[in-house]
Amino acid sequence: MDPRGINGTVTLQPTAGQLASSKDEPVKSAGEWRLDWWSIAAVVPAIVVLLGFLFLFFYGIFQSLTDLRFGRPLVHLVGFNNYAALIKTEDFWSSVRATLGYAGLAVLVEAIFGLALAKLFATEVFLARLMRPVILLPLVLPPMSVALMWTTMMDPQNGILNYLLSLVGISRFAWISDPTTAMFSLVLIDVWTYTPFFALIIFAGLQGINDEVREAARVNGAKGWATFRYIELPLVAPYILIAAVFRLIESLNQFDIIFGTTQGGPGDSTAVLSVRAYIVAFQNLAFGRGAALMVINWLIVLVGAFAMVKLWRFVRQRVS
Amino acid sequence: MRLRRSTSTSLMLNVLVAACALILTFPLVWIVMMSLKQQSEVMTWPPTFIFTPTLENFRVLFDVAQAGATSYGTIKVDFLTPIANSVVIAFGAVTISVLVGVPAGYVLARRDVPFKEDIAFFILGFRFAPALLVVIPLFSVFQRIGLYDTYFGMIWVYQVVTLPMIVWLSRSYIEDIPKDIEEAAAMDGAKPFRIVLHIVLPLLKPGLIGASLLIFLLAWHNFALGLILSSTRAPVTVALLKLLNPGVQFYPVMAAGLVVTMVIPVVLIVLGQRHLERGLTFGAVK
Amino acid sequence: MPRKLAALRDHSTNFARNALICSTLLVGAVGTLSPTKADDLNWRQFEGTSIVWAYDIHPYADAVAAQLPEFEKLTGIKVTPELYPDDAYWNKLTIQLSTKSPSWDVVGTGIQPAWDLAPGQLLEPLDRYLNDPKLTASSYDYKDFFPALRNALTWKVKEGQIEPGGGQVWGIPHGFENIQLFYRKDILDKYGIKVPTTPPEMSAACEKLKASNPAITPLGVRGVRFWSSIHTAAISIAKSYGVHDFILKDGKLETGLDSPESIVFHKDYVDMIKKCAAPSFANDNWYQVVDGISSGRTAMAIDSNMFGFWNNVAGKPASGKIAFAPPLHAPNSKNFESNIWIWSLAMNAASQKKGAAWLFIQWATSKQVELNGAVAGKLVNSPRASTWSDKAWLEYAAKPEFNNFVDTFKSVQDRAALAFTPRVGFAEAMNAWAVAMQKMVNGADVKTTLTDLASGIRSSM
Repeated sequence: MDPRGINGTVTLQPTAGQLASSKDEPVKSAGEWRLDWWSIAAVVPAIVVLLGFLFLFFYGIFQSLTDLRFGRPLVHLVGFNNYAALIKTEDFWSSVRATLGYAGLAVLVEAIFGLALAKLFATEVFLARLMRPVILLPLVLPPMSVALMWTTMMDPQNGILNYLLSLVGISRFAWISDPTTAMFSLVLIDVWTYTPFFALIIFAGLQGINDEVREAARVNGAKGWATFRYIELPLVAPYILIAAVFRLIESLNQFDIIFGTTQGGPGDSTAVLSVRAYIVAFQNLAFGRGAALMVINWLIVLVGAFAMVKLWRFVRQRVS
Repeated sequence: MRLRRSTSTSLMLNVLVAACALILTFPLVWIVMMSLKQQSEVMTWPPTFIFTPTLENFRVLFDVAQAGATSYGTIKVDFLTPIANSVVIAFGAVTISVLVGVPAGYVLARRDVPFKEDIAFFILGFRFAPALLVVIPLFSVFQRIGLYDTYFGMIWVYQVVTLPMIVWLSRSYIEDIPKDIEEAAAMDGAKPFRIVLHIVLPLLKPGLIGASLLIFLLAWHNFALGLILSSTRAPVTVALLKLLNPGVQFYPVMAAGLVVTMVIPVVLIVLGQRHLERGLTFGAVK
Repeated sequence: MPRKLAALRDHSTNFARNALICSTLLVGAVGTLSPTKADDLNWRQFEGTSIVWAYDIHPYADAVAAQLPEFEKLTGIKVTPELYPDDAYWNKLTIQLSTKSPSWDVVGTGIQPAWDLAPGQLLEPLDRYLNDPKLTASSYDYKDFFPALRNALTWKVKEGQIEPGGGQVWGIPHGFENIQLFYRKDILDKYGIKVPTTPPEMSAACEKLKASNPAITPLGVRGVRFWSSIHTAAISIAKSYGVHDFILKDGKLETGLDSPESIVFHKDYVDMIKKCAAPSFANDNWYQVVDGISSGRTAMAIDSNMFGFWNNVAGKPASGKIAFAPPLHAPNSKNFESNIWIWSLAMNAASQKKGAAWLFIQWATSKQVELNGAVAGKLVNSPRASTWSDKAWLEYAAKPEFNNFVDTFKSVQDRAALAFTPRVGFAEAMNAWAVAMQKMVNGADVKTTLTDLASGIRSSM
């Protein structure tokens, strides 16, 4: 297999590729001034729509620097005391670990399953074409609304999932009732609900790959796996990463699934930052400290998303 | 895919597809079955797959005639209004997001605006913060400016959920459309707006429909914003939890509520899937 | 201004009013739904206003909602109910009140949430209204409410903390629960099990039951990660062991959860849970407890007594099968203890329609409305002693399907009282206790966990 030969047959977007490399240079044309205003005008509404919430967010940061407690009339600015107090507690760090573990595992598994699912349903076999709408079905159930259903399905004694497992000889699995298996069960719920998200985006990307490309590769002697690895995968990689960016952000912030089922328990095993922040802010009514937890959560998301976006840009450049 | 497959491979693939379909739909099927059971049958062991179905739970759900006549309590469980609310809010949010987001996505894909990548990341950044952080001042502000419990307010807030994704997804799909088509049209003297409308959009349509479907479902999912920022305009995610009344048979009625809630997204998915399949072949346009 | 007009009206139509009173009494004797037999209160003084009443989705709310048209006819005030499920309700309540939003006028609250809301002056003290003859009918009879309930909702706020024992009234009891052990007598009879009275007895009974029928969960208790799972079984039994959530030491409040009595209690309790409760204990909320007893998959439960009552109502699957007993007590203690939870009606301090709101609170907690709710099988337990001596209610509650509900209520109510120590910051400490309970049930060492819990509570005080 000749790598150069394969590069030569990537005919998807040669001109696009050349032009893409000039993306970083301003488009020079006669109507440049006019275009720029239009461009700015096209982007501005999106920014404006979202802008109002920015101030609220800064207000939230401000609140994290106070000792605000609901129901208490006096509020003092305490600087970084809330953050300092948090960093010293072991519970906080276990929350951070839980958050990172949950999000990392969920996104990774969803990316792999999503890719597999997209490939599977992209084949032209009869059932694949018939059942394509099924890919998205898990997404019709809002996690917060289905949480109670999941709890009943995962009941160790009477739940349907344990019944199905018993049919294949696996005895009682504890699911969300035991600290050692709770996180795994939650990741499972997340994977079931959101793998379709990956699958759909990747599926759309796979459709965009020209059949000629695959034919050319096959003619050149590339077998199925090599076609996949050297042609399809690089071309859908940007899509996988876009989907991963969004899923990473959402899983690091995931509240509905976790709070609806375990509320962070048993013990502290699934107490991710968003759940801990909710309990501290809205149940213990210490909103200053709760806000600090949410700001830290936001920082983690920021770092994660930034890294992911950088990776996306890198892959995008390489592909084009 | 024009590869010829052996029948055994085809068979194996079919089996795999069937298995995946089963896994993806099983919880939904289970919930549908639960909605047709009585409370005492719900958590039996072994679980019952064969039983006499009853429509009582659905009747309870929609019994608007006489509050108090049902065994569900005196309070009318008004279920149709929250569904209508969800539909209005989700559709409204998606429409606004598409109208505002696709042009932005186009610009970010094609043009060079100052601070382009920063703007893109900034738009993405609104998804970073947990909604709970801003929900309290948001509630106060909305009350003060009269946007509390209005469709307009809800649709605006939902932009934080839907807009960033449309911007980034349409940017991605547009980047995959070869630029030379637009260049050719521009050289022929077509104005940029017309290029976008007549050339880019049709190519974008399948990807856009897929993306719109996704953000619709995400808007449909939302709970926290709907709970805090509305009362009569509450979406169905809030209303579903109202079915948990201590004095009554809540499991199957809640399952019935979920089944009713499922109908609209399922219909949209089935309709939308057809568009996704048709001609997502950017490369062929060359 | 409306009060002046009312006064004028009173004077000028005195005779007509007397005649009216006589005929009203006649009609009242036949048994109408009008709560104002001796009408010295002008119910129509806030005619034309509309108020919002927020509450939990609950049969108590059902009981009031069924009679709302009567209120409207009586007062001309329009009431819009806003009901939310449990956790969402507390969330919204906190946000609505702490942002001083005027949209909710009458709010349902429990005792403990009121502790957290009172120091910020988010709730309106109600004594002013109780003591005003122009706003409260003389037939209202505030003393009719059980003393334990009245005391629980009365306190002073001093330096940001709660000082119980006299002070202002922050809520009016609407419906309440005391904690009892209720059980499926058909199941216990079938396997020959006597109703246990102490945790060791319960553990033994559970082992016997499990040996006879492993498919049945012997005991249903809440275990979720909130103080609500402590406030039912745990605190009631703990109190009889001499455990206190907070104790007064050198004039200051100290945590009592690492005391020797507490260690003894937790050892017994955790052992009992391990032997008796469902494997899903850590996720069990009231839904699972109720579903278990009602379907017969759970044999016994220690929770609010009205769950047993509601599932005994004729037509329900478990009708007639649930009997009642006092909660478990410590082996070396003669007496049991029983915690209470009160759903009460309170007033938003930022409400702009306080008069109308008070009339609604008064009406909803009046003797007749409470009685009607009880007889409809929804408002159980009524917080008024008069309901429990009223023939209509007693006849209904003495029906065979309710077994020994009334007798057990009366014997438990003698000892039932709020088992928690009132303080701001209650939720944080008690939630931590629920988390610690989960850890201990999962195998963590009792003494170390309690020590950690206590130091955590101390550092947040």
